[in-house]
Amino acid sequence: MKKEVPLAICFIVALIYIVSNYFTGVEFLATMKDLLDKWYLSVDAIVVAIGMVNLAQIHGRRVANKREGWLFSLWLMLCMFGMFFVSIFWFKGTTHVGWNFMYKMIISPMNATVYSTLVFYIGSAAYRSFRIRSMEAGILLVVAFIMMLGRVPLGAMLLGGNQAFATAADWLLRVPNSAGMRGIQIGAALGGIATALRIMLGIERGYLGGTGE
Amino acid sequence: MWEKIANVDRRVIYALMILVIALALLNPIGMAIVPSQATIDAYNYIEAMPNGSIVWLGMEFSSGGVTELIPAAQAIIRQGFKKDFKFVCAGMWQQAGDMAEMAFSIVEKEFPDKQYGVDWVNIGYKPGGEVLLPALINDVNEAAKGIDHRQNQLSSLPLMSQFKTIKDADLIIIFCTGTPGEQQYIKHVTGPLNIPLIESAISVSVPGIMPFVQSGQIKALIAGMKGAAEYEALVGVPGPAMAGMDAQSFSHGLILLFMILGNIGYYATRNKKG
Amino acid sequence: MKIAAGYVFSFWFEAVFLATVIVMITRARKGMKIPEIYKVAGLDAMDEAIGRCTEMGRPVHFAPGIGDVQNAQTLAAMSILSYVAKQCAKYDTDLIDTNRNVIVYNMSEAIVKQAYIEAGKPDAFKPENVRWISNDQFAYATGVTGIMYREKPAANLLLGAFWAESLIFAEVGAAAGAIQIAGTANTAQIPFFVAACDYCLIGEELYAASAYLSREPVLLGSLVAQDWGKMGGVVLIVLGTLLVSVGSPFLKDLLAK
Repeated sequence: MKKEVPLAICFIVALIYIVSNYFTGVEFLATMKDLLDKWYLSVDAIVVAIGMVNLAQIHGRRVANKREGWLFSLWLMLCMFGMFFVSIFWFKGTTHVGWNFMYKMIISPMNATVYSTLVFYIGSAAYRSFRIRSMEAGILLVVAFIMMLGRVPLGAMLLGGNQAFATAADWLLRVPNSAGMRGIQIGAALGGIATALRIMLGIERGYLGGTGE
Repeated sequence: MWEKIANVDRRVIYALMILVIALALLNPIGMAIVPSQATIDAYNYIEAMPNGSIVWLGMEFSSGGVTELIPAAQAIIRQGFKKDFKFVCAGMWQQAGDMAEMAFSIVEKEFPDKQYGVDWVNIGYKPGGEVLLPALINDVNEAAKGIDHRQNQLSSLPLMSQFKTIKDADLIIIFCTGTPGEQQYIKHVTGPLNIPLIESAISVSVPGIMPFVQSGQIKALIAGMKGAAEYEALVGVPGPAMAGMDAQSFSHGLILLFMILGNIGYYATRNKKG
Repeated sequence: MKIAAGYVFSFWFEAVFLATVIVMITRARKGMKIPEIYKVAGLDAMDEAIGRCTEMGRPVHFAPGIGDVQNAQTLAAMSILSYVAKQCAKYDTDLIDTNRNVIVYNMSEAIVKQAYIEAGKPDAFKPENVRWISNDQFAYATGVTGIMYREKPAANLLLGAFWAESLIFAEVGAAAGAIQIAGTANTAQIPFFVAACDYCLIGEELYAASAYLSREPVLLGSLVAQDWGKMGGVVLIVLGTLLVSVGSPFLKDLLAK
């Protein structure tokens, strides 16, 4: 029963969802789909509390035992619970000036900062990986070379205004890249559907712990 | 020496990268921007839309996408307002409302006659992920819970009397950094309803989007900061994307230099070992 | 009740595909022959990576991507996690599992716990090693970066739906000296994984992982159906190309119905 009940729920819910996605004109299905969407959003919001408990346990223990880096753990807990309590008891919503400050002036720029670190990682990854160890790696390097020069004005500047790199980069994007991407996308879409079916039919139970039937 | 060239400390690469980008941003040399056919296609498509068209702007990105997507959004707003377009924006990403406000921050100075609520509306972020899109087809007011990003009642905004569902959009333009993004729009809105879709996307997403452009599911693509810079050039108002192209050019140049050095070092040390 | 506009073709295509999956699974259940599947280096290296951690006395890091539980990639990652957790339990190797989505975190915890129970070592399960970092994409990325630097896993398994954080994880993993196996169906991130990781599962290989690792005939049967689906796709592409070339929009219109 421990596995049969979740498997039955999974099958019924998935069936409702699939049928309601394809068929129109059945009020019951549309209502059920809407209800399931709302349940999902509610569960998603509520279980954040469980995540917070997990974080508090890990970092609380680290602070209590004064393990290496415990000050960072303390800071994390201060920020997490600080934002949580201040938002509920003081800001009381997302329109408060304080909440806007915390979100727009702290969280948002920090997000942009972490995202922008990608430029450094791209640099070091390209340096490390684009070595001509084989013919395939050589092709990869040549293509990277053309793309990187073709996607910026530097390519044309180096050729005295000639757009050859840009034209070649455009061709690479439109023809070989599109062909490859389409293949990957079709394969991945079918793989996704097959995985969903395996789960729906209870053949793949890895998400319940333990693989297969 | 070859060993060193083959194994440059990643911190050296990081330091040089920041130096090159900072220098290019502080002292731009103004490299020539030549619009590509893809960007010209996007420009022409929007230009060919009738005056007064209602355009949906999907702000499907967060602060990480600002440098690549906001310049494109602003260039499109400039072009659109010259043709008296009406804009309705919203998004499935949490910062959608703020991103729309940032994009439209140029309006007050450049288009003082355009009014919020009459010429443009920012519905802002609405939760639910891609579930939001089918809801917008049924009833925008209900999907948005009746309020916009600025906490106005949608029913009090004149533009919304002409825009009851997303079906009322003559054109959909989306600005995307990931998922939810173009695939969700194609699946729920532009595919079934046959509404034309134009996208501005960050550079890394471009290879994955190209099949949708070729199939016609996306009418035109403004690709990354380069596309945005080209669009600024076409609209005739230089902006942050054109200014950023020098920095991007030099950073690409530096990476290429390291790639060449890495290979020289690799071959020199390999032969030695051999 | 009628099929929604724009979904007619996709409904029938999926219905035929579903039937094929069921037929292939039934054949597999009856013990009929299933074709061999090609070797996937990334999956073959999974045990080697875990073994390396065991030898070095360092943990394995597993990230199931940042997709939510509705994402098929996340569910595929959960099946791989189940396998990895069992191997780690078997060899007494620590497994650090980091999560962005809270529901996925709860699921991961249950899977890892179950794996330790099945391996007969319930006491070896460390709940603090299954971690929820943050709902925010880049806060999660930063948290994982910190864990990689501090706890220095010798294997970095990045399998699931990844977006902009993919390269951050892969580069930090390389800096930490970990053997890296990555896999995603998000096309924009595949080049990063190919460039920065030792092994990369591309697209559908991620979905095939649980069948490949478990070698269960029933799961392998569904892979055969996937290949038939691809054949169908190829036929449609060739037919569509030919028809459009001779000026007939028949198939194009049919697909749009």
